[in-house]
Amino acid sequence: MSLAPPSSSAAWPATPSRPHSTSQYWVLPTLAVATLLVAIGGGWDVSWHITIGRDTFWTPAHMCIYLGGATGGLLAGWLAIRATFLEPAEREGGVSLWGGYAPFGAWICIWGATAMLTSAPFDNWWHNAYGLDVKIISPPHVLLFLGTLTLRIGTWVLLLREQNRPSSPRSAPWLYSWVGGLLLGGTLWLFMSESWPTRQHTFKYFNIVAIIAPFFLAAIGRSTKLRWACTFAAGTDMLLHCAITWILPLFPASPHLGPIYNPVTHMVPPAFPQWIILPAIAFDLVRHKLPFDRQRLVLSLVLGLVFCAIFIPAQWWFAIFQLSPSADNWFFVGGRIWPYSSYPGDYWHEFAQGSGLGALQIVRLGVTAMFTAFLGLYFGSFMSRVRR
Amino acid sequence: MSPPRTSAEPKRKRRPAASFASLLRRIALLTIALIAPTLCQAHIGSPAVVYDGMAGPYAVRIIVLPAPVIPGRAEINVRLLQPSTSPVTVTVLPVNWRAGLKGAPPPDDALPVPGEPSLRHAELWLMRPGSYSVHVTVSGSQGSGVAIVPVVAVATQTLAMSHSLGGLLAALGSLLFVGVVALFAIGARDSTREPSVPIAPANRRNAWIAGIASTAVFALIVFGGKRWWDQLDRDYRYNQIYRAAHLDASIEQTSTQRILHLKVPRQDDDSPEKLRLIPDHGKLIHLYLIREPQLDALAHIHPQRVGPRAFDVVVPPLPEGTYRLYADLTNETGFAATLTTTVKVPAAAAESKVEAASPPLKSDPDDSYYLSAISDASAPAHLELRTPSPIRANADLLLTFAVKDSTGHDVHAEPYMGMYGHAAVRRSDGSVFAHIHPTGTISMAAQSFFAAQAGQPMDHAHMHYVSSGPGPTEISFPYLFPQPGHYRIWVQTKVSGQVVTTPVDITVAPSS
Repeated sequence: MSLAPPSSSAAWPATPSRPHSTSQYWVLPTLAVATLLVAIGGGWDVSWHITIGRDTFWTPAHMCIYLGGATGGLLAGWLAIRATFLEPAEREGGVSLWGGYAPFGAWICIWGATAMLTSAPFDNWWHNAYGLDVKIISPPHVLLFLGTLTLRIGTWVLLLREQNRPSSPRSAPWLYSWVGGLLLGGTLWLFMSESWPTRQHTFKYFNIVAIIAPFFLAAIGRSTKLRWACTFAAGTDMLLHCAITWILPLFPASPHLGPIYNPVTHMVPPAFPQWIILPAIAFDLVRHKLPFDRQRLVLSLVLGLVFCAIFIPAQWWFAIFQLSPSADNWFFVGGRIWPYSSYPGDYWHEFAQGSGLGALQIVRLGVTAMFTAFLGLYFGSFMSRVRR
Repeated sequence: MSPPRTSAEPKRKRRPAASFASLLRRIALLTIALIAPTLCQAHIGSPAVVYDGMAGPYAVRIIVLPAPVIPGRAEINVRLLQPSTSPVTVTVLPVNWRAGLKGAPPPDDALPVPGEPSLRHAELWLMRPGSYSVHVTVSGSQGSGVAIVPVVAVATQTLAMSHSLGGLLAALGSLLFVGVVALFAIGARDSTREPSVPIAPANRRNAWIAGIASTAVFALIVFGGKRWWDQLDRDYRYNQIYRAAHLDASIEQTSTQRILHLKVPRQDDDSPEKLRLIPDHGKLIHLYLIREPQLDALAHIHPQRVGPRAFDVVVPPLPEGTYRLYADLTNETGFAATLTTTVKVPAAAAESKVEAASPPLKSDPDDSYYLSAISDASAPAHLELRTPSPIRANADLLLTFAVKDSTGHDVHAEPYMGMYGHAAVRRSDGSVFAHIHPTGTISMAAQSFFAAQAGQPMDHAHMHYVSSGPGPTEISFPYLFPQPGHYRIWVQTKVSGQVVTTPVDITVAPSS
């Protein structure tokens, strides 16, 4: 078992003369763009909530999310219609479900789009029953998030199928790693309230990151053909978040809801992204240097340790910097991230209650990171074998 | 990120974990849509806020239908009571008591309602529970003016899911569940199989294993999600929905008086030691006592503070019986509330039937009471309902009463506690109670508080329509009955220096 890229296509059976791929060259890039729209819409929507506040179905941020979701769902549906009714030859490279044929990833995308659609009336009822977005994490929001996440997973699997073909296009591994980074970033995004800079010294925060990041990085590293796949995935996601962080404040905006305790004048940016790229680089180096073939357990131990040794101190120190006046500039955005409804106070620059890590907690984080890295390697191993 | 909660804002009660029965009940989503009004803030079962007054030179009637959940959207209708020949613009602005105008967002335009040229409509976004004032600004050729209407923002309702929505979500949820299990099964069976390679028995076995395992896992996830939903629902029902503070009442029989002791206990450790109230018409508490079930005796009295959270008042010469108490009070944040309880009033001692020369506790000079057996005959005047039938629920209407003497001639009303009229509206089953005035249902004390906060002290004489000349011969109360049914309204005014109370029974028809 190795994290190294699958060696070659020689061991694989000869491909049929007619490609079993998604055929149209435009489908996969469009799907990747759809997942990007969902990611951008998510960041934009949070900024809209904490800057303008007034939330309706028709906000541009919602349109961005739904455009991405609808595009992904419709494209996946098109692939299913095409394989089932129009191009029976494409059934060969798909899987059958309830009489229909489509690539496996397309079925996943369709499920994600259905979940997103289901969340809309549920969320509307939820607002009427319990209030307008009292909490970010509510059952309908989780369903919506699961839908968007699944849409990305479906796109990921479609790209994976393309990458795993013996004569795959050169762009496939890049797109695959890129969407993997979007998946990683999107999952971390859900826990934004726990990853606020003032909370970045709590055990809970590090535990959340230790559950999510090693899993995705290990899975990407195990299943990709790119040499620097983890770095590319985490780096592109960090760049995307940086772009959102830097571009949003360029637009003037003011709150349309009260009470206003923090009279913001421009779109409020999200906090500077977390330094997932550092353990990602380390994961790639481990992949390159350490031959842990068929030793998933040992490899996961190393990856877990590497993750904790690099990420915890890096993010710990960066969080201190973020709360300092030195970070209060357009690049690091420092204290410019607080919502219009936030009462200005010293707590803007202080770590939250419960901050601090004990030795036992660091050990627990290490064990968690090892376990999720193990699961990521297992999942990545499966992903590297996806053919349909 | 939020400022600390104050004693003025709604209190939260903690409740134990829900039973398994409640879990099952919540699983049954397919229930009829039901919006169940519960205890309301100022007044009981009568959530609409109605205000008749002036916005500068413009006479307006403002009706706010509060949001049933917070954060939520309230509805506001502004009716221009005098036709205007030139265009008039109306804006509305909700102002949180803590943030004030400085922390208010830009106002919204209230847009004309098609077919109703004098009516404007807008939505009010109320994001925090607590006390708000709504600034309604009217601008036109006569200039511009602002009317300030106090509104309390609290969650009051629970919402069940309709059959149709429940069915739709159940169907989509089932599809998603079956779909995800199928995805795992076909993923295990086919996803790693090379094209043109037939399905092997091992592939089928993997599909079964994945299908069964994913069924178990996702069943657990659904179950966990349901428990999470139940937990959120319980938190909403027991900690978010507003419940008025408790009111303790007891009667002490002295040699000459019956003293009613009232106490508002602290709800939790966060409650202040002292109940901080602001006076309404000069009184900290307006207390109504209504004998149940006869509804034949009523007192409108004003307890005096005797302790940080305790108040005493002399019970007027009411007959013995069980009385429902309604105590209207306004917190120093402008949060108006009606507290209610019952008390058993004993028969007056022999001495107490004679007015004592120097009672230990003085009655408030504005205290009044009504006994159907004797008051009707001795009153210098009475009031007659002039509002034509049918009176419908949820209709914006004026309850108009003519002031008549015993011979049927019009007589002029005099101000009683700064107003020409006071009315207590009660539905026969007690589910609705409101203490209203010619200005509407609002708390004057809260309005004054918000006006002062906004730097616009109120001209109460003007606001209350109290003039220096003879008073009107008709008194009108703007009101919106919340539900159909039988109501009794005790209308009060003053004639020849004497408080006149007339009970009027009306039947409210369902909304058209």
